[in-house]
Amino acid sequence: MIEKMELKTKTINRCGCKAAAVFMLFSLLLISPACKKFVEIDSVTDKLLASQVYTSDATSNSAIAGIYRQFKTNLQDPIFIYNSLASDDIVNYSPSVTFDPYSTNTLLSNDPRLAWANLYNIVYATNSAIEGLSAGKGTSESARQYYLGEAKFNRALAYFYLVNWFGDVPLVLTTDVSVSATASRTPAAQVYTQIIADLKDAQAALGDDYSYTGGDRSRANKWVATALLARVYLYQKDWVNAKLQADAVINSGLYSLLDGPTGIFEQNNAEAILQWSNYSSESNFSAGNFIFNTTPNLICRDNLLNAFEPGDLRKTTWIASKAYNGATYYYPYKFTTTSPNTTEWFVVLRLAEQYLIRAEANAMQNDFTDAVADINLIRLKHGGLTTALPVPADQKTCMDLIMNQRQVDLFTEGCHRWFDLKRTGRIDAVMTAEKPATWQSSSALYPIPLGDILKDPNLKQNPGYQ
Amino acid sequence: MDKALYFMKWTTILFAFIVTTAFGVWAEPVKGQNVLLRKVTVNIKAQLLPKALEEISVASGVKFTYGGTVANSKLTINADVKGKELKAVLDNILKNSPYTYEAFNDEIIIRYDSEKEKSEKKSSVSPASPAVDIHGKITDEKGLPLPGVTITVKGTQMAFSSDANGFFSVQTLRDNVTLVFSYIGYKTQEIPVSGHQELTVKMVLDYGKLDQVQVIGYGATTRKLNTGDVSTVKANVIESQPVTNPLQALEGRVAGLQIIQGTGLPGSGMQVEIRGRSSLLSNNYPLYIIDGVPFPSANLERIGTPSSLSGQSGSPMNSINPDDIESIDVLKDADATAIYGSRGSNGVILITTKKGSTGKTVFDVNVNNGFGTVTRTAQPLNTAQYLQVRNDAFKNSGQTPGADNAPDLVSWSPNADFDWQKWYIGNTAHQTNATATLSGGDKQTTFLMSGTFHNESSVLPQISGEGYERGNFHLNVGHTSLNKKLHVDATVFFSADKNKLPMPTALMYLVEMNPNYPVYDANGNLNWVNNKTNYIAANQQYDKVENNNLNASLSLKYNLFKGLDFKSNVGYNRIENNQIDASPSTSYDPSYGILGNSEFGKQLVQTFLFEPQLTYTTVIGNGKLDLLAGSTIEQQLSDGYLFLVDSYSSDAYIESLNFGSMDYRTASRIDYKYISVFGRATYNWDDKYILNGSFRRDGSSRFGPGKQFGNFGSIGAAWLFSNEAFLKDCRVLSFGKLHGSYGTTGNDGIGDYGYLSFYDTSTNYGNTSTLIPTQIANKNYQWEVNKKLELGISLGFLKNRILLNAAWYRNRSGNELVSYALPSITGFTGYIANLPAVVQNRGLEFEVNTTNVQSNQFTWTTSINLTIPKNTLLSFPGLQSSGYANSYVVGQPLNIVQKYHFLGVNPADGTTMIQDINNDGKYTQLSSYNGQGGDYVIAGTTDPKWYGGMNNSFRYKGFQLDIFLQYTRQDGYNLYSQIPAATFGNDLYSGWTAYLNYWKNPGDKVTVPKPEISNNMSQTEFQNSDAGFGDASFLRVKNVSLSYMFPSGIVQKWGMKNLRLYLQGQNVLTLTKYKGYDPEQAGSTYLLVPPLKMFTAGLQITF
Repeated sequence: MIEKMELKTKTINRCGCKAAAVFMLFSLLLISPACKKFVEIDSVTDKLLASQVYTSDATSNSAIAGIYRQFKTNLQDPIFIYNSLASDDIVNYSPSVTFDPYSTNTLLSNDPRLAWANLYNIVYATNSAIEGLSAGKGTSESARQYYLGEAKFNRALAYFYLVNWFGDVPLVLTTDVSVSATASRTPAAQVYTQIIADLKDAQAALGDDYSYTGGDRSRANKWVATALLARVYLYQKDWVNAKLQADAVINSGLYSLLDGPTGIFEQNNAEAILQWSNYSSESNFSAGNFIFNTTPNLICRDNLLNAFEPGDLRKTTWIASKAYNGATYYYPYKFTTTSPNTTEWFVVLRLAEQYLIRAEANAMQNDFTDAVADINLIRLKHGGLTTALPVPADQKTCMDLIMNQRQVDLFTEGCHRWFDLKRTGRIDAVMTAEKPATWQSSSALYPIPLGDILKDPNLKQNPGYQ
Repeated sequence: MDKALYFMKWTTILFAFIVTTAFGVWAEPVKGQNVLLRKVTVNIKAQLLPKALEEISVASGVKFTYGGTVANSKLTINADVKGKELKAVLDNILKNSPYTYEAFNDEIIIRYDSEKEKSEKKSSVSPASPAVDIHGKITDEKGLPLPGVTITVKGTQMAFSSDANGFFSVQTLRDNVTLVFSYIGYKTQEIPVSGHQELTVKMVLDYGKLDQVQVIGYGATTRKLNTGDVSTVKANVIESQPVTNPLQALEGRVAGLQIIQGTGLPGSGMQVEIRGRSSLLSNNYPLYIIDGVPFPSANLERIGTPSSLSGQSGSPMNSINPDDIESIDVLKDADATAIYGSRGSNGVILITTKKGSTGKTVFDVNVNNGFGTVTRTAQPLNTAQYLQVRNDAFKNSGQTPGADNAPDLVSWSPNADFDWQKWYIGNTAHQTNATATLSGGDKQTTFLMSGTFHNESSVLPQISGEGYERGNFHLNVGHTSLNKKLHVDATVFFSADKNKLPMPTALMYLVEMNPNYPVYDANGNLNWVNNKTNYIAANQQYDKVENNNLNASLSLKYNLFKGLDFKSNVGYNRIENNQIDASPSTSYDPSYGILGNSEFGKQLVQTFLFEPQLTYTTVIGNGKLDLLAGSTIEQQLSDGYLFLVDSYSSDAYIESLNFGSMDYRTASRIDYKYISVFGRATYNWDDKYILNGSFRRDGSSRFGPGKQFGNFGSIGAAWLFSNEAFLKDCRVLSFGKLHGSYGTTGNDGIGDYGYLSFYDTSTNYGNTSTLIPTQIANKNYQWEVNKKLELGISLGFLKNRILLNAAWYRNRSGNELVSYALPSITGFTGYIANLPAVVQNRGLEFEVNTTNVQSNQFTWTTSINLTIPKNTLLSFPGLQSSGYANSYVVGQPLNIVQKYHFLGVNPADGTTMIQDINNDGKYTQLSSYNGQGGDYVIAGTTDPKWYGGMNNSFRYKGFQLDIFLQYTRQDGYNLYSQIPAATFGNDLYSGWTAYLNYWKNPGDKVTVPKPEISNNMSQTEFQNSDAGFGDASFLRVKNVSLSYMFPSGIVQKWGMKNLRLYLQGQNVLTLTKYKGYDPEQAGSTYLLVPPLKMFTAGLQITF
């Protein structure tokens, strides 16, 4: 039988027909709906999605611990070294010329050692924690409250340093980039209002001992928040509240002044309120800059050396000396070792400061008797100075005693000297005498990093750095 | 699990598909032949054709198939046969008709053939032509047999090819046909034949290489017929250059391709850009494809190296042996690149490795040896000059040198004079390269295997085990089935290299060491002076990198039906990178008591690829239609580890993880998946009008949900006007083609997982493990899209002795995908985002190839290329308030450099005078554009104004001489601004003699401001001014290659086939006025080790 086929064109033969059909079928196969599924990533195995962090007690705990870790890693040098250099505590003899801009108060806005970005990184972590914990998914209620308190304490601590180093700073309270990327500077008073609110929240949320950390004084509790709140009120010149909060810490019964200066950085010492802890084999890298090994590093300025009364044990214990090239160099020795597995931890808050806060609050309210009593207590306990100072006749004398006591007890710790000079208005006088060649009044505030000035059009530079 | 199933599903479907269709097809030819051999007995008297066929069908049991023309045929048939073969019957009855037949499966197709009708009409006058059989031999221009020449019968799709001995045989039904002989690299010849004939065809070399094969995405074409813009560099050009990295061999050779070598150190990274920078911050690397398998293009970052020194990171292409490469095709316009869709944005570089060829087994050995030094340096100060500068600096600062602030003036010897630059980069590098290749094959199977060993030392001071070593193995096997339906090609190459160098970060600091620094103390021990690094000791720190690279690909092609081919590429690539950065304790000042420490890095990148494709070719009307449909499924897995180990008790164990204490470790694993479908249609009408369209739909895991897929496509057209009748006989113009294309490509060259926000583990806090935020998310970013437009013309004159290509292109990249810099108040310094900016790259490219002299004895050819690019930021809404306000200016190139405008040195006090743009009485390091209120003006751009190359190739008897010149007209950073120049006179740093013309006394009219010892504002401002940026143009004799091929008569007596001696020189001579090291690196703000001036001598023997 012959079949008739009506083909439309003579050039398409049987082969072509079949080929075209196969081609079409193949093309259809290609446009398979499974494509979409293929390009989805099953899981990310080397990182944790942010949305999964605050969904269990264990991961929440790790993330909160991460905030302290960020402080410990990134803020120990700025707090303990850079600001001690900026004040009249110490001077740089080390090979690291990068310390010099702090030492001579000639920071430029592109200095890589400004702690701005590190602090805002912590602010982000705390905001992320507060957002994640507030959503309240998967965490137990008691843990959630506690971690929320710790996050708020740490946010307050970060803003405390920001506002004191840089002045008015953007108050970022969200992880939302579209808000934070164009933030402008918030007046310092408003930042302080937030700090106080956060610390009060923390006080309410946190427990009143260290049972949460198994006795380690390495994370916040109620007294930690209270101690920082006392300091914040003092800086705000709210003498009544400063005294109230300092009293609460002193009377908590958890802390006592050390007998003698030895062991002030020892882990979990009786005086410590908050310390940044080390993991097992960690060493304190800031300590390496203080301790004079073979060549002088960070050397005490005469202002500090001359501030001690004769016979003060703190001068002989917390300051060591070594001869080099025929001269004797004195260097801070609160850290006594650079080796790993050290039992020395960074001190963030300790009891002596609370006594000094109370003393200052009393002095400013003209209660010189109570003020000098606290001073004498510290002189006796830390310095071994048995001769009590008489009650001062006036506020200025009393304040001078307090400032002197702050200088000799708190040197190279917590930026105290730098902030004290600033908040009491003494900075120009002291620094002009100490660093006449380079000091300018505008140096009291650090520059906002140039990068951020360029990226955020609403951010304006501090005077003297434009 | 899902993914595995998914793969299996695909594979199974495709496999089943191949098997079922293949079996049917294999059987065909036999059946078809059998049908024609059937015996028939019929008696047909004056029947019309359809009726006659019906009777034959009944009688033979064979089915006939035909169309309307046959059915309506008025042809009358008479036949009376008994037991005759069907073939003979059909031959007889259709002899004088316009009909042909063809056996297919169990049936016979009767077709109307207009050509046959014409000849039949003629034959109504003359006797009918019988089917003819044409035999012959094809030779090359020297008379040697040429195998593999394609012979087609014009007007039909019949094709034949010559065998290993050049013989061919063509059977055709018709007489008076025209045979077309074509072969790559030779001119296509058309020879009319009539009757049985014995032919000898001598193929003639094509001057203009118009029929040179160009590899394009998923296929190949020729320069003549290409609608897109592709430049090809062949093996002979690559082989003539003593380079380690194949990319180095492309420098200056291709219009539109700019390549800058990172440093002159072995294994250096390469900056590669095709047609300029289109992305603001993200990836501008082209896509590399080696034998069909994508190859990582980003430089392998070295651990511990600041990213600003990216020139010192390693190029992954370094593991590719230049000797293994057959050709490199650079795809530039939309027509060529759109088939690669989302990854074709920055152009595509296709690398094809060598394959075996039919013929006698050949053994080839090629050995060379050479040495090199850095091309160009600057003159550092000697001690006398240096001390003068320092004394002047103290004088200018009004201070007195003392032991504490000026040991160089007070304590150190004024007679010591050490040239640090010479010590560090003034050494001679040595290089040895040996390759052995065995290749051959028969009609069906070809193979090639080669092994290469490469050894290279650096110009840095030698340390133990220093240098670069590489071994390569390359294997290719090709097989074609007897019936030529199946073709399989498998390629494997493996390379292992080791690179050990002193830690390369030191250069920029080291070269400004003061020349009288007391390196050794009185006892001959290394001396450590406070505040200074002892670089002799520091040089013991080294960086050791080992790479293993395995690339395997299998391409399979099966002819399903006439014109329809199934193809499949399966590929696997594995790059393993191991790195140790070791710092022995002896490299540190012993007073610090620092123990040895090492960083260990490991990276493993694996790429899996599966690309099934179908191609279909058919003739429609007077033209040929090529169709392609395919799919890509790709997965890339990257694993990385980094360990930091310190406190080694002994430096002897510093390369072991075991003997120190673990300080830090991190790991990463990245999964990248990619899927797409693509198609292309090309219609070529009579080699005159060619239209090409392609489409691709891509999905990439680098984008967030809902943003993963994108569509890309292009359309290209070419008009070969020289094939038009009115130009066909033109004597001057031998070739002319206009082509144009427009299309879109994309760019997903960003990091993975950018649409997610992450926490990562960090160091413990106390005993608690920690999690810290590491990435802030942006869920909204999408593809960056590049719209490419191109118009080009190709002209050939005087039988293509002069070939000219000119192209104009305009690429506009929008929806810019960048690592957007965020102010750190957000908590992070950046995230991935699209920017509503448009970047345009526009330019002209020219390529001219001429054959100046061609005779038996002497040949002289020239090729010239020139590129005139222009990069412009066309628009950037919101630039003023963005993080880029100080970097970019609308209407200007992306690579602009902004600096103070230098007004000279104040003759009165030697200070730098700067133009105060905003008249506020002070100088601000911000842009004066975009309302930034600064004093920076545009000093220029690091983009070249134009660049290109010229090659002259001479051949006289056995001698061949190639001279390649590279030229670039550009501006760049010079010594006055390259870091750390601002320390001149300050802080114990030395400088360059270029600084010596500095201000000394009031009234001096000089170009360099006074040095001071501290607060060196004049020098800082000088460095930040446009005095530090200027002409960096250069003309370079990039390559000279001379070779001598011994006469074949002589070498045959020695038992060889070929013997070739050669001398090669790279970067031989550089002419420039540039104030600095090598002008090629003038785009860097850092001093880098310059490229090498390399000379090698070699010997190649073929057996």
